[in-house]
Amino acid sequence: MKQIVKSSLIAGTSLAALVGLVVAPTFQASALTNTSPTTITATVAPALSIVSGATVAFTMTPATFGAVAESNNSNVVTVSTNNYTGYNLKLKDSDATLTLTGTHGSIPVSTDPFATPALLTTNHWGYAIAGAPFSAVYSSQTDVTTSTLKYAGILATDVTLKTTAVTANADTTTVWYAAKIDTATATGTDYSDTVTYTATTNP
Amino acid sequence: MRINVHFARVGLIGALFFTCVLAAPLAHAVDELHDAIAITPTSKHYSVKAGDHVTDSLTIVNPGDTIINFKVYARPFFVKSGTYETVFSQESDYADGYRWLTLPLTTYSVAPKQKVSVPFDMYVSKGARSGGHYAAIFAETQAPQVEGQTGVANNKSVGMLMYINVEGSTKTAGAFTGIDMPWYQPAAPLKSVPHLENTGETDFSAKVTFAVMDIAGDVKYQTNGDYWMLPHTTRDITFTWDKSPWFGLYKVRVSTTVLDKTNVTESYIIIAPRWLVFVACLVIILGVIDVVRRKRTTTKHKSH
Repeated sequence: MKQIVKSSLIAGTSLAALVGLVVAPTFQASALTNTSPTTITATVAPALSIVSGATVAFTMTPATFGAVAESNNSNVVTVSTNNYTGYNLKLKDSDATLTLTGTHGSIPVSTDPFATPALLTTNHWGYAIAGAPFSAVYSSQTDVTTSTLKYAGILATDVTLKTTAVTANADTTTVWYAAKIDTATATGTDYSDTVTYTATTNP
Repeated sequence: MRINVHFARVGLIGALFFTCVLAAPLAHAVDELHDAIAITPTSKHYSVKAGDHVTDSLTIVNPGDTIINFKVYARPFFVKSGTYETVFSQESDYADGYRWLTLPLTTYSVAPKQKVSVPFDMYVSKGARSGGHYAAIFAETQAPQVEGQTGVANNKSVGMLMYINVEGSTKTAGAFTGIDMPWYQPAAPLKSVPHLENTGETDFSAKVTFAVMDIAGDVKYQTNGDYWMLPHTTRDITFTWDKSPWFGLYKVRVSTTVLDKTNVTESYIIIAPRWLVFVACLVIILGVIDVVRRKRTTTKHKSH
């Protein structure tokens, strides 16, 4: 919650700063070139900003040999735009390697697509955003043996997470990431992957 | 002139205020954030001739408090379905403008609270078909590679949409094709979805106005905008009155202007929950039964 508020603050300020940077030169140009004493023109250029939290980390520790452990954590993505038709937010893997890759092995990505997410199968990782077709509500979990939360597997191509239809002032989207492993996955502290959030204004 | 100078001062002071006074302490407060990236403009329209060379630029701003490294690249741009979901991965007859783009530099660094101009060249093909061609230029932050990093890191990407119209003989055609605006809506917000189509070879802008009035004709909500229509697409534009009450009777007017042809649709809309309609129907039915029963009783008394 604290992170959402902070993200909102920085995103809102970012847009304000951006609009300020864009509008100021327009006013200045108008002052230098306009000879009419009564004509005031101002152009507000379309702008868009995106802010997100740092690397999402989660730790899994199976209680006993052969037991499973599922953990998750979230990332808040904050988008602001003055475009009145709104914006579109997409997610994809940053490269063609979709696994969480570490020095001693890798955790494969879930094979469930965005349209039909499902419970994680053991030794897989996935992502989710609350609401259909995913689970309605997500909460933080660490080393749970059973979970009712649904996840999808990330792709190397874009998946649309959200489309809005109006201007956005620090609009947030919380993306959850989770992995479920058993002791077949070798220990390691460097299982990682990089994803890309893409924001564009709507036509 | 004096007024303009005054506004120029206000604009500059406002910009300095936002960037120096407000942004800095808030950005410092968000110490867990990696980076942020912003782009302006978010779209550009070009009218060019086949064989033209256009030099232009976009601006990337770093509103965060850490240096960002980002790469820039061009991609196809088009839309799919009536929702106009953007697609940047499929080249098509129209999503081919990215081929004409070259970026002199592809990697940049920007200090916190600074901006950088990203120049690009557009070499329009000499054999380019007249009409619309579409592309997008993206700026994508690069998450720092940290040894021993664990978890899911993220890059952030922002894009500028490019609408390139190659001059020449081309077909421009489109129309308003209908509207979804049910007279009974069981839940707020009040909603209306006009449908537009572009059957031509180039894009155009359609002006759409959505207005909600009460019974007395007082405007309760109004919005309007120009919506770009890409060639050979249909677009469903969803308007909602987010502050509409849970119950009420309103008059809604949707005006669309497509290629100088205006269409106005007006309708009365009832917003009422289903349970309320059920209760109202029940009351009416009970009332009718009661009236019939009383009538029969009166008739019997008279016949006696």
